[in-house]
Amino acid sequence: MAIQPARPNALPILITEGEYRKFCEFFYRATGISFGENKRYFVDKRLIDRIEKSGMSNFSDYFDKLRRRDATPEIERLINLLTVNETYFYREEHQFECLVHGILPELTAKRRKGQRIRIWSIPCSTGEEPYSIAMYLLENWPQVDDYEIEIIGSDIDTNALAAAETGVYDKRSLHRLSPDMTRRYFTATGADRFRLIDDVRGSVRFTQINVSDAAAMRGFGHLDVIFCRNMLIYFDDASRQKTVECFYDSMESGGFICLGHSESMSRISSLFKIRTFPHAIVYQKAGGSR
Amino acid sequence: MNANLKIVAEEPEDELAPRVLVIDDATVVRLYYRQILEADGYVVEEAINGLEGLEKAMQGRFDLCIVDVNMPIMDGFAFLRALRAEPATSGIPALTTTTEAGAGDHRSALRAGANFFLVKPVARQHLSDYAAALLGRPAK
Amino acid sequence: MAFVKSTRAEPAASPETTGACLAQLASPDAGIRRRAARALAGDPGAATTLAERLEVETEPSVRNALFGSLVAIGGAPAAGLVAPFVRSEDAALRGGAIDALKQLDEAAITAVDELLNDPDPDLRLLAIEVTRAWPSERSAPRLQRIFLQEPHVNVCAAALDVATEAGGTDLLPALQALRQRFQNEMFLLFAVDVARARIGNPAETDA
Repeated sequence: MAIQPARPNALPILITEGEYRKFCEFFYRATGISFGENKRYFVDKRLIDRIEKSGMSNFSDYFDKLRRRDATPEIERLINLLTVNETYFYREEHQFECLVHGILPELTAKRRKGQRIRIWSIPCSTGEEPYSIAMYLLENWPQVDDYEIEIIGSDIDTNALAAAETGVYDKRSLHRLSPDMTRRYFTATGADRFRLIDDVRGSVRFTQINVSDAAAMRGFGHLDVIFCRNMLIYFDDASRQKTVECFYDSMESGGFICLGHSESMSRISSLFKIRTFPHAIVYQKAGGSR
Repeated sequence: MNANLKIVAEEPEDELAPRVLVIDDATVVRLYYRQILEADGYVVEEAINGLEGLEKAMQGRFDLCIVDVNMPIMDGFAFLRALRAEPATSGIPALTTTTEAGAGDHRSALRAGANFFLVKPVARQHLSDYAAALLGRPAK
Repeated sequence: MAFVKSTRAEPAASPETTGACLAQLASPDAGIRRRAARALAGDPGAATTLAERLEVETEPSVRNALFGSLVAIGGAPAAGLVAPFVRSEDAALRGGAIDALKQLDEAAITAVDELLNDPDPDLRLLAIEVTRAWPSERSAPRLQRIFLQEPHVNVCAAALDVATEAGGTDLLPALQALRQRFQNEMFLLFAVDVARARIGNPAETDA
């Protein structure tokens, strides 16, 4: 696999078979994601792109750099290229199914009506995830009015949070929603602009947070469910662990945490118990009703 | 033996072939066992520690687990205890491997839920024979 | 409406004094012990007590917090307090210690080198895993020595696994020597071949 670099006299960068395997083994160890021989073109192309952009001329130097402690920004860029990460309403819907059919029935088994359920969406980006939770509960959970449901959406990016508060989205964000859902929950305000109805916009509290600020993280407590999808995968080992330790401390006994579809606690921590539901694999803090 | 192995088998899987889950944090060990077990006609999947092993065991159908003791995040004994505690996986045969040859570790392995115990480095024939035995098959 | 938008902060726990935390490390409640251990993360004076608690603590979430706080305290003394747990009879404590030594990075070099020289091959083997997290220039001389001199096959195998990821062409002569030393060990020969395949040809890496 070779592509022409910007400097015309430089040699094309090649990834050998051995280098490909070496990279895949490293990536699997770090993230749990496996690439087979059939992904060769996909991975090589992106690796070569990053080697070039890093100002290097061969895989060996780039890989050496990738293994260093200060490589986190580069690893993040690489993971971004190698994984699919868009945000839209009802992304990974099966986890919301799990919330309604698995998690909430367990949580509410020993809870009185009118009591609070706290759900944290972090990172919430431009709000699709926390709003999706609200909508999904309204549409699919018969007991939605029996409890006080508090949904918090947090992100480090204040621009994303401002957009979340505004609640205006394009068609792409809504592509997983049925026309009926779109009609009932959104108002078209212009060409490819859809504003979320006020009732749902008012159902989520948005806050700014930097997860590496342990003191700030201590400000969040008594959480029953955390959705942390497609954030931890970008962190280095130490940061992942620290963040998850903070989540553990912020959660109620018996609380649940949902990660992204290509993420696993196996690369982070053994603090949580694996719970397999028909719709998803999630993790639970010990204690509580089970 | 060919060191340049396929990381993920791409031939269509034999629906009836026994499925073996290899759990060890050393890449070279997983590759070594994979070669031996695939040559014996088994379908092999891998995990790098006990927690990944447990996730795969709970989601998939495995006929045998081969699990090392010393692994990060979740060691082999913790894996075995969890495997036995979980209704979906409690009956899966498990072969434990460890570098410690002492009798103490052997007893710990059996107490934690292993069916058998092999000392590393595991000889090819031993792995093949004991895997076959735990799968209820004749030796190769 | 089902949803509430609360404006009050709901902190996870209230802060305690160092003295209170040290006492709470022995609380009958695991949640309290864990919180106390977590709270001592910034306190170098607590390091010895944290390590002493690791000797008796059985609850995984508290052990996690004890190791985590020792790592947060950092420094060679903390590494020195963590290293002995690599000898533990308890596999989870061994694993926790290895992970902590990895995170302590440079501060753990002395402690790891001591383990790499320990008479017990199982300790040498476990210590090698820490070097996986090290930059190549730090791990290479240790791996080289193992390939040339280490008598125990499992220790060599552990070093080979690290070399498949961290090794450079400078290790190839030592790998050849290792191959000669263990000509009858099929698994080891296999592992050497994998390491050589991953390290690659000097000619290939001269691009």
